Parts: sequence; C-alpha cells; structure tokens
Amino acid sequence: MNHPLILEGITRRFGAFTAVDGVSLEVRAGEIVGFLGANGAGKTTTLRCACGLLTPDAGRVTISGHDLGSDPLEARRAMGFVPDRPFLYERLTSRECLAFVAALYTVPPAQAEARVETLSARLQLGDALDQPIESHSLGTRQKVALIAALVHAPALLMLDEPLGGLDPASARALRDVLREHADAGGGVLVSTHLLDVAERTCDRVVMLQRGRVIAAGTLAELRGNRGDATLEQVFLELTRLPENPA
Amino acid sequence: MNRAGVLRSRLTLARAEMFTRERGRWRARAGLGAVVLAVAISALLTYSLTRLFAAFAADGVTALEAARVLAAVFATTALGTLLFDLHATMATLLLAPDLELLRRAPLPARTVLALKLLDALPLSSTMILALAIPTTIAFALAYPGALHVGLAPFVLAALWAIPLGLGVAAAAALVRIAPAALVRETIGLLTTLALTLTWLTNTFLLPRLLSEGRMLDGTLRSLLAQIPAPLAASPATWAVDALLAPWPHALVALGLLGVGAALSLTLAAMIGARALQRGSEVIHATPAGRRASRVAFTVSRASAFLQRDLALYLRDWTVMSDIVVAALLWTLLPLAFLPVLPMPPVVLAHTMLVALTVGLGHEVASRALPFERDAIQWLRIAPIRPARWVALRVPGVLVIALPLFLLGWVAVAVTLRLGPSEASDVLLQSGAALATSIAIGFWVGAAFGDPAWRHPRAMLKGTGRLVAVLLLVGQAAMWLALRPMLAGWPGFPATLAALVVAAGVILASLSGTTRVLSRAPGQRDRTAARSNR
Repeated sequence: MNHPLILEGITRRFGAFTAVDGVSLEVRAGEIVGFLGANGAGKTTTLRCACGLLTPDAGRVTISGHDLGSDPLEARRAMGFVPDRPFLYERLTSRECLAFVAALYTVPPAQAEARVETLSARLQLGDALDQPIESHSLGTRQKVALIAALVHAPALLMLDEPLGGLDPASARALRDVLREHADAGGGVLVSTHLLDVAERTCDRVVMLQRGRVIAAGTLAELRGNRGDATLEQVFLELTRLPENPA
Repeated sequence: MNRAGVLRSRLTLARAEMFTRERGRWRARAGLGAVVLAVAISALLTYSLTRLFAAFAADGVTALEAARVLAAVFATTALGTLLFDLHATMATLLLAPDLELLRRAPLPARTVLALKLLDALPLSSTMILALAIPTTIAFALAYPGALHVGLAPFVLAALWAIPLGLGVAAAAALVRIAPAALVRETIGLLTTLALTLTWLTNTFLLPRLLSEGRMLDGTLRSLLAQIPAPLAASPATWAVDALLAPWPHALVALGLLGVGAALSLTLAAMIGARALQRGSEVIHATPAGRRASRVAFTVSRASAFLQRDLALYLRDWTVMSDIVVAALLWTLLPLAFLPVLPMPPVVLAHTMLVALTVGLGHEVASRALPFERDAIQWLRIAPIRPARWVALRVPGVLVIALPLFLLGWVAVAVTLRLGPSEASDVLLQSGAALATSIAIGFWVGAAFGDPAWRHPRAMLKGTGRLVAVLLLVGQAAMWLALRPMLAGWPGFPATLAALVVAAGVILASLSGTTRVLSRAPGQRDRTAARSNR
C-alpha cells in the first residue's frame, strides 16, 4: 500500500551527536498525524530528512510509493512542506511567489491561479496577495507558505510548527484546510508544541524524545489505562517532564 | 546596572567578530581581515600623502597653501562620516539583531544608545581612521612645527562627533519613508563606493600628480590653487584653523568645534534614544502601498524564472546600481595603466573588454544564487534537478549582463575607432570571457554565497571573496596572455582558441555548481538543526 509517507529507521547525526535515531513512522491517506516532542527532541531534523532538505545517514523515506533517495523528483512532486521559517522571496508579492512555485511544480496556470484564489480566501490573505512579502507579518508569511505547499495538491503535506504566528481565526482556518486535505485522501504530518491543538486536530500522534519515537497511536491508544487523561497529561507523563503546579 | 558585566559582554562580542574558537584553537574571522585591510589602507595612504606633502614643501609651497588639501580632506571626512553614521545608525541602532534584547533589559534608553554607539564605532570612525588621521600625520611630517599637534586629537574627535547627530537624525527620518533594510543596503553601497573612490585616488591619482614633472613647471601649485575652499563656517574650516591658525584664533576654532560636537552629540542622544524607545513598530515597518501588476501564472519554468529574476533585480536597485557602477569601474580600470603601459587601440579595447567581462560576469553570476537567500531551498523540495535550476538562472543573468557588455563594447569600439574586423574579433573573444566568468561566478556563488547577506557588495563569505579575487585575477591574466601567445602561431585563430578554452571552463564550472547544489546542506543548516532539532 502506497501510504503518503513512510519513514523507516531514519537516523541523522551531526558529528558525534545523533539528532534522530532510527525513527520509523507512517502517515496514511486520510489522516492527520501530530508530531510531538519537547524542544530539541528531533522533530525539525526528522521533517527535514523527510522532505529532502537533509540527507539521513541511515534509513529510508518513501513518499506515495516513491523512494526519496532513488526517485527524488517523483517523491517531491507528491509532497508539500511548510518549514518553520518559510522559504519566500521577500521582494516578490505573494502572488508572484506563488506563481513561481506553481511553475516549479508545472501546475497548469488556470488550475494554479484558481487554487491560489481559493486558498487565500480560505486563509483570509486579503490584499496581502498583491503586496510584497517583505511587508508581511510572520502569520501572513506562514499562510503564503501553506498555499505554496498546497498549490500542486500534493498527496502528503508536512508542516513544521505552522501555528506559531497565526491569530485564532487563521489557526482555525488552517486546521480546517488540513482536515479537508486529509478528508480528500491526503496525508498530513504536523509538528507542533500546542498539545491542545494536536488533540483537537490530529487522528494520531507520534511522540519523539531525544531523537527516538517513544509513543505512537490515537489518543485513546495512548491513554491506555489512564482514564480521561488529556494529551498534555499523557505527553508529560511519557516524557517525564515536571508538571506545572498551576 | 552591572557595567563591568555589560562591558565584558560587548568586548566578547567584538572579539568574536575577529576570532572564533574551535576545538580549543583560535581561528581568525572576517572581522580581523577588515581590521588588517583598514590598517593597510591607512598605512598606504599615509605614505602617499607624506610624499605628496613633501613634494609640496620641496616645491616651495607653504604650509598655509598646502592646508587647502587638509581642508578638502577634512570636508570629505565630515561628509563621508555622515554617510557612515547613517549606515552605522541603520545597522547598529535600528536593525541590530540584539536590539530587542537590549530594549527589554532594565537599561535606560541612553545607556542602550551608548552601547550601540560603541558597537558602531568601527563603522562610524572609518573615515577618520582611513583618511583624516593619515592626512594629518602626513602633513605634520612634511611641515614639522606647522601644526598644533597637541590639538589634533580633539580636532579629529570633533570631526567624528559633529556628523554623528546629523547622521542619527537623518537615519531616523529616512526609516519613516523607506524600509529600514533597503535604506541600510543603499547607504552601505554608497559607503563602499566612497571607500573605492578613496582607494582609486590613492592608487592612481596621487602617483600621477607626482609624475610627469608637474612639480617643476608649477602645475602642482596651480592645481592646489584650484581646490575649492570649504565654507568658512564649517567643521572642516574650523578644524584647519584649530590646527594651523595662530593661537587665539586656533582656540576660537577649537571652541566652535567643541560646541558643534556637544550640540551634535546631544541631538544624537535625544533622537537615538527616542528611536530606541519607539522600537520595532516604526523601524521594521515597511510601506505596504507598493503593488505589483498582476503576475501571469505560467506553466513554463523558464518564463517563471525569468519573471522572478527580473522582478528581484529591478526591485533591489541597490544590487542593480552596484552592478552597473562595478561594470563601469572595471571597464575604466585599464585606462589607469596607460601612462606606464602604452597600448595600441585594439589591445586597449581587448584589455578594457576583458576587464569588463571578467568583472561583470563575476558581479552578476556570483550573486545569482545567494540573491535568492533561503528561498533557494525550493530546489531541494521541488521536483527539479539542480542542473536545471542553474540552467534556468542563466537567462536572468544574461538579461542583466549582456546589455551592459554590449554597451561597453560599442562604447569602446567607437571611442577607440576599431575597424569592423577588429571590433568583431574583440567582441567574440570578450564574449567568451564573459561566458566563462558567468560560469565561474555561478560556482563561486553556490560554494561561498551567504544567504543572510546584508550588504549588496558582500553576498559572499570571507573565504569566497578571497577565492573570487584570485579567480578574477587568474581569468584576466589568462585572457590577456592568450591573445599575444596565439599571435605567435600564425594560422591558429585566436578567437577559436578562446572559444575552446571558454567551453572547457564553462562545462567544468557548471558541473561544479551542480555538484555543490546537490550536496547535503552545509554547516549553517547543521548548526540550525543542532540548535532546533
């Protein structure tokens, strides 16, 4: 079965330091997977390996049946990535930047333009679409980066901390877009610190600690015999962080 | 406030600009190179000016007459320092990465201002160190006893302080009408050009003034008389009076300088502190009014790349103007050697166009990839091969470089009255040099580009700039040597040889560029990953 994403034993070292240690996970069609972990757990490095920004020292990345190592172009065609710091051309307008990205993926112009219009309306981009990116706030940049990742309708969407700069309305719109993408048969892998958001949005979560997967499953599976524990309580217990007394 | 701790941290930061410690070993950084370069330029300038003033003295020019040069230098210093202050204010008072941290700290705005002015000292004192001090020393050596040497430090300090208030005020005004980053880049470019002109003057103009027997026929003296005197009520005039006028007048002039410096520093403190209090909402604001015409979505990557490249270049006029000015300077460079190396017109044309093409190809192509900043990461995410990405960048580079090259060719051919066959021969050979230089420039940009560049002239890292200079000299030497070498082989067309050499170097360079771009991300990404894994 060609899942949107399969990671098998991904390991990435920086000198003597192992940032990601044998991470395996899969994102199935139709589901949103939350990628959770404390600062420095290895989430960003894993995502960078999964999208090709970093080359893993060991392991295999398969995107919609295409091996990222041996068939990179087809694998990339099936993937959209929203980095924590968006890769945008500051001096271009959002529309110009999105037109350029659409051309990179050889999306037919009419289809690309319609998609940009629809998504910018959904994400309330408004006038920002025709203004220089250098004048945008962080939240607006993230919206543009999300549209750029979705402009070619990829089977897999990966997002690294996408909710940081967004206002509540935009965050809600983003969650709706992710849900629709999954409902349409796509897969979503989203790394976030916001456990309540993950709880409300994700079908499954994968928890990472010190570069290793320490837990994976639906919230019900992770709760196990913990009764009505929240995702935050489960996370804190599994990662052994001291609970906030407040 | 823990003054000692704050000072220690600033010293540590300054040291980190020049040295880095890796695995227990100290290694030099780019900042040290800048210091060494500044010292070398100052030493060279002192030597040249000492010779100039000595020639004046030998020619019977009195100290008061020679003081016209001193006044002109002080006026230039004041204006140049104003420009550097604008740049320093932008770079360190308004856009410094640690500004928000300092603003949030429990420090009065004036203390933050003082700290940032301390950070800005190397930039704001460049003209004093590189121009005013060497000139004063040279003058004192050539005319011993003529200067009030004891007042010189106060005079020079006032020349540093007076432009400061105006610079800070002008910077605060400019950020209201243009994006701060753009203003900083523009001023950075102007300061570089100011330094380049100083260097050109020192390298080419001063030796010529001293040659060709000008001292003997009185030309030098008449040239001196033509130097316009600065305004009577200006820091430059006061500075010269303080150094050269009889005592009561000297003290009055020094007093005027002191009052000017005090007023200026007060102005700088008031405006700078207010700018720091207003914070990032004003400073980082960018005008949202500019709208681009609606872009046409296209399925053609070639068209998309070209549209994007043109938009980027045309909107970043600091980079464009830098390229144009550099092209002009490169073309004119061979003229500087004419008095010592007379050349027939066709050789001069060839030399000028080789200088233009080697320089131009480097200026445009080495910036092409770093110009994209972090957005170049799309080549690792999107379904496109690095070789294709580089190939698609070529039209954008040619659109900028070719018109400048053809303009230079026409200008040189017309000015030097080349015949049709000579002109076409020169065109083909220098065209080959341009293509080679562009290919090498791509490799330099890919291997040494700094995506976090802040100055349009510094898109390469320190090592890259050194490598680029060596490659530029190597290319120019190769093209200039190739012509006379092949002239000794009758029947072997020089143009064909040039094209063969160019093709080989182009293939090797483009292949190297693709390899660099295909490689795993460099140290910067590894560092980022380590800190945010």
